[in-house]
Amino acid sequence: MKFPSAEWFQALQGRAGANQERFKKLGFVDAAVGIKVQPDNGGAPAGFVLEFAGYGCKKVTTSAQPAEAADFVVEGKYSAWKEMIENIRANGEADLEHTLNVLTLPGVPFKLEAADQLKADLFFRYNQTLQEFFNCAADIETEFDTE
Amino acid sequence: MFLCTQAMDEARHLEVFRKRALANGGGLLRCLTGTEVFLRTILHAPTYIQGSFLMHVLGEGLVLDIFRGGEFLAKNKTEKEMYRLCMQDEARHVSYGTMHLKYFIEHNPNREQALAEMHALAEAAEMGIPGFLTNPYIIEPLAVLMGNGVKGIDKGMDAVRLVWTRMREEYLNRCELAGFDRRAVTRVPEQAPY
Repeated sequence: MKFPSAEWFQALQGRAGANQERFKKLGFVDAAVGIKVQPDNGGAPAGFVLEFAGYGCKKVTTSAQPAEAADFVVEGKYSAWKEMIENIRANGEADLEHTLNVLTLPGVPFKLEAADQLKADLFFRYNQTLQEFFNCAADIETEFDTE
Repeated sequence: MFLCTQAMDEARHLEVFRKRALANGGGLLRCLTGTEVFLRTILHAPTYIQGSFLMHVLGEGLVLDIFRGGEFLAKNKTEKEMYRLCMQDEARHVSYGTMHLKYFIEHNPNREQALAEMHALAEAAEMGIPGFLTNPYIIEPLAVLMGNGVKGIDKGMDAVRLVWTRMREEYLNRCELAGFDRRAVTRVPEQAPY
């Protein structure tokens, strides 16, 4: 499965959906999560919107401007996304240095963008669910571009 | 109803962090007077909206950042998960408080007077932000942890300065969102004084 692509995020959605019991324990999520992958050498970014409702991700769409549809956007360079996914694949989950919070808190390598603070706070409000959602990447064979 | 769920959340936080502190072998040590005084102002707030502002918007807004910092610094998976789950609870409380403040301001029949009273409260209470982040019991261990040891304390202080800026900015953003603009009048310095 190639990253970044809608198919890759749909595969993530499928893996998380197969583990409903775990996500039910974490509580419901009501948020549209934007993802932006910036090419390392410039060019147009790849954007996606993951719509969460109830106990999981209900819809994945491609979007050139994810900020328009999402409550918040997690944005980072391709190499940073690649490193995070490879780390999850290698460890079965994000290690201590590659959780979403660790990657976004200093503003690098990921940046959290939102129209207002209440929307930005949704990232913290559903953080464990989002982390476990991305941890499902451990089970996805991922192909990366050779840059 | 919401406050019942919040009381349950806070009881869980108390339990999990108490157990974690005791598991470390060092015991619970001390609670700072400033922290206790701030908590007392919440309990003694003359109206619900004032207590809610102090607790949800100001206090829990700071704690939300502390939990984010805790997750960032945590040295094992269990601590990371503890902080993430507590962060979720805290963000819910902060959102409630922000929206409650917004509703209060938008629907108050004596809006100007209500705003004046809230500004008077905020002017005094928000000095808890610099009070918190100039306290050596808090910033020294934070800087050591963020610098990954005593030798890295200077690097750690850079990170503490970032925490200062973030806490202030997010607090002001939440006030602004509620229609309670503190940005032009706050006495909390934009940059850390160290």
